[in-house]
Amino acid sequence: MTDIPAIEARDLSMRFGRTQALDHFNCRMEGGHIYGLLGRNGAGKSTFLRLLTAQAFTRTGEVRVLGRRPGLGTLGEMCFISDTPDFGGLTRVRDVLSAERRLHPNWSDAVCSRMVERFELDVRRKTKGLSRGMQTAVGLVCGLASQAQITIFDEPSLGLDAVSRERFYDALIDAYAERPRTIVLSTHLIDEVARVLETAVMIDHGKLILQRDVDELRQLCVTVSGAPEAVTAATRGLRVLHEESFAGAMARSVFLDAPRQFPQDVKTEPIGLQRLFVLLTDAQRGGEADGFGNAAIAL
Amino acid sequence: MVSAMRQSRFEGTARYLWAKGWKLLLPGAAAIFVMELLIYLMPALGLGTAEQGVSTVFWYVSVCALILMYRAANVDARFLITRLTPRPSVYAGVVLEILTFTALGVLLAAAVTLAETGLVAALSGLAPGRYSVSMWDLLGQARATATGEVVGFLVPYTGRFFLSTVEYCCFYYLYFCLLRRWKVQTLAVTIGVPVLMVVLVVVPAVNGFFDQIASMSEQELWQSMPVLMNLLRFMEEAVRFMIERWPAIRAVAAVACLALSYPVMAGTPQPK
Repeated sequence: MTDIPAIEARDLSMRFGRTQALDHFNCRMEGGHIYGLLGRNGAGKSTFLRLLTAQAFTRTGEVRVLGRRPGLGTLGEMCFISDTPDFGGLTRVRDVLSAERRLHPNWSDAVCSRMVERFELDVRRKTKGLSRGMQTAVGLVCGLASQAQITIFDEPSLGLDAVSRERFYDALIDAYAERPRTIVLSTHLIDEVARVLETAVMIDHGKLILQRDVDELRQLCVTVSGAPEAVTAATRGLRVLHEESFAGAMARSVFLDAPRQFPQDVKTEPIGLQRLFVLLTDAQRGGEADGFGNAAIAL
Repeated sequence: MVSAMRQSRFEGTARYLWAKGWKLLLPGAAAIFVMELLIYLMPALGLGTAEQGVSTVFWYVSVCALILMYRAANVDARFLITRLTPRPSVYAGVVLEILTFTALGVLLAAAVTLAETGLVAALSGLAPGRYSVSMWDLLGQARATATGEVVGFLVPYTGRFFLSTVEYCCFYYLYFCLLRRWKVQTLAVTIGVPVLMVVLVVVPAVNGFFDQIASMSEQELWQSMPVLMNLLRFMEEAVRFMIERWPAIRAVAAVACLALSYPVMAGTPQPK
């Protein structure tokens, strides 16, 4: 193993007119992990992915894929499934799969057939007649069958029904287990992808707000609830992300520096990834006013 | 080497363009043959009395070239680049597409024209009053009145048409790449520059010339004759130079267009 990261962004900025899509964005993704690029609509996720895949360009900051600038040397190692399906004028699903097969050097026919079966895709169907969910499914089949060293899915579950979404995440785990690689799932539907992620990369207003191992976050981000005095005592000196009181009880969501044991008189439960994201973005926005600011969002 | 080729995705690009190209070219040729067949059969059915000669169908290659280059600069580039195909591979694929499909197109057009010649020759045997083997090229430089002459005419014409279509493809490709990247500016230059030239240069120059002549006395007119003659001689020489060097000028312009189209295509950000 080399210490060259699969993906690295340093001080990356990009502006569209008055909109600052990326604002000194930094992140580092190691090879062989499943990352979740999580953020609200318009947070800058797609812009980052477009820079990563050489579909857009910026002169501010630097982006590296496998240690090189995105281009001839790196694109062949990657597969990008966009959130807007584009079949390039190919008329049938089988034509699209056939074109993709020839474009991806590590394409697996076996994985492709398995995925086509799993998503119940009819390869003879015309691409124009496909529903939004089916169009997404074609992209997902291509992404998984490509077996590229770095596979990126932008909003992978757009238009998919609940069954297909679950099937996709199961298939993703199977494909990853079969051939470990770097997978990046960019989405705003955080709870949905939480179960498959190893590392969460949270982005808001073009800035990185958190990058942490998901298991670690489950231990570090907890809600402490119980009698107000007990909760106050148990969370004294900790970074409190949120506080609420109800029916004479109190609950505080805290971000710990390291896992710790709480007294018996309070109840603790991990904060879900989506809830954590909401709290962190609120903290980021309330920043200086409530005193959380950068302390709450330290990496 | 093999691995680098695979990573470049050139083979996939070429196959994608091939799969799309022949689906345009072959049905197009078949449709034109059927259409021409119907036109030939009309006099036989008494639906027309004009003498029917053989017509070339090379115009169809020009139409296909225009459509192919439009697709190459838009739909195909978008599809391939979204699939992370490196730009050099996309460009190399388009160059290969230009050469391959132009060659296939002119060969198909020649084959259809020959098939039509055979058909008309057969029909002229049956109804000599209605059909005859006759053919002119577009510039009226050559005329063929027998099957053998048609073949003799087609061979050099096919070669010339191939080169000319390749050149046009280079112009089209650059134009459509520019249109995709700077739509408003390209349209403004394409439409605006000729209009401005006419409005600001040609019209005032012509008006000024005639005003000047109208205001001159007869003696002044005679005195200015040598200047006018010199001007006409200069223009004649310029035109002659252009005509003599026209094939070279076109070839150089085509190569320049093809070379310029790469940075335009490669620098175009993909739409969201």
